[in-house]
Amino acid sequence: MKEEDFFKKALKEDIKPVDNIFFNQKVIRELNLKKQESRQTIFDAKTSVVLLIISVLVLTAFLIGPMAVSSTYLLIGIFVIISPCYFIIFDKIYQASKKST
Amino acid sequence: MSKELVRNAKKGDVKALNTLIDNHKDFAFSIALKFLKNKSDAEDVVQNSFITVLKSISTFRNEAKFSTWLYKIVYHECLKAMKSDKNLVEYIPQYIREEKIEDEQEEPVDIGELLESLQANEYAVISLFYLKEKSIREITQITSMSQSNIKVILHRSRKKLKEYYYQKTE
Repeated sequence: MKEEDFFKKALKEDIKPVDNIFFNQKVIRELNLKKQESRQTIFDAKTSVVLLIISVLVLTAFLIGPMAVSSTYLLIGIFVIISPCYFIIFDKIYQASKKST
Repeated sequence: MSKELVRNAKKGDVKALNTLIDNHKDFAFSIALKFLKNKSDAEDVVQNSFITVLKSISTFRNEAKFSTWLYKIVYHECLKAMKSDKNLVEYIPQYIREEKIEDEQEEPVDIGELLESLQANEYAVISLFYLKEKSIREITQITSMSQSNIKVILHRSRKKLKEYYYQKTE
């Protein structure tokens, strides 16, 4: 037998098997729990960003278009635009508070 | 095969996840046991390492990359556990304690005893090299030791095994 084969055989035979029959189950269960934890979100950030883009486009169309927009409507429009940003911020705060507890 | 296994595990396929765990758990456990000398602690370290690695499985393309990352976490978690355990002597992998080697020159009775006499880092390096066929570069990634240090450890453990091999074949 070659030296190298002897080393491999000896090391292979020296491997200690894991006795715990629930080893794999425990890992997979923990993994699923962590996945579920990370899925809990109040507002989806992606949806909020899409909403933000749509709002900006709509307001830009109003401003560029022939219709005159009063300052009150403009303020309401800006508020509508930034509301998805609030959703994103709320979500981040919620996630951060969940991690710290 | 290994790519397909990782791809299926990424999708959350339980069978693939089980196969992936089965392929590596015993080796990882043996390394951890060598460091921690306690079954329960070794099992905990390996389990936590699997959870950490499987959580970021989407970043791995094949099983080789996965195993390198897994063994790296196991190795470093063992060092961390050893440092936190005050009963154990502080272990610094970057330094090779020559004086201890001098003491360990007694002839081993069998191969099991010889492997038992190897220091944990020697056992880890030689097992990764021969059994898992990891390159010196990959072992560097796993252990965070320098290439020259790994070569020294490899040479030294190989020498011990060679001595035993020639004794037996003579």
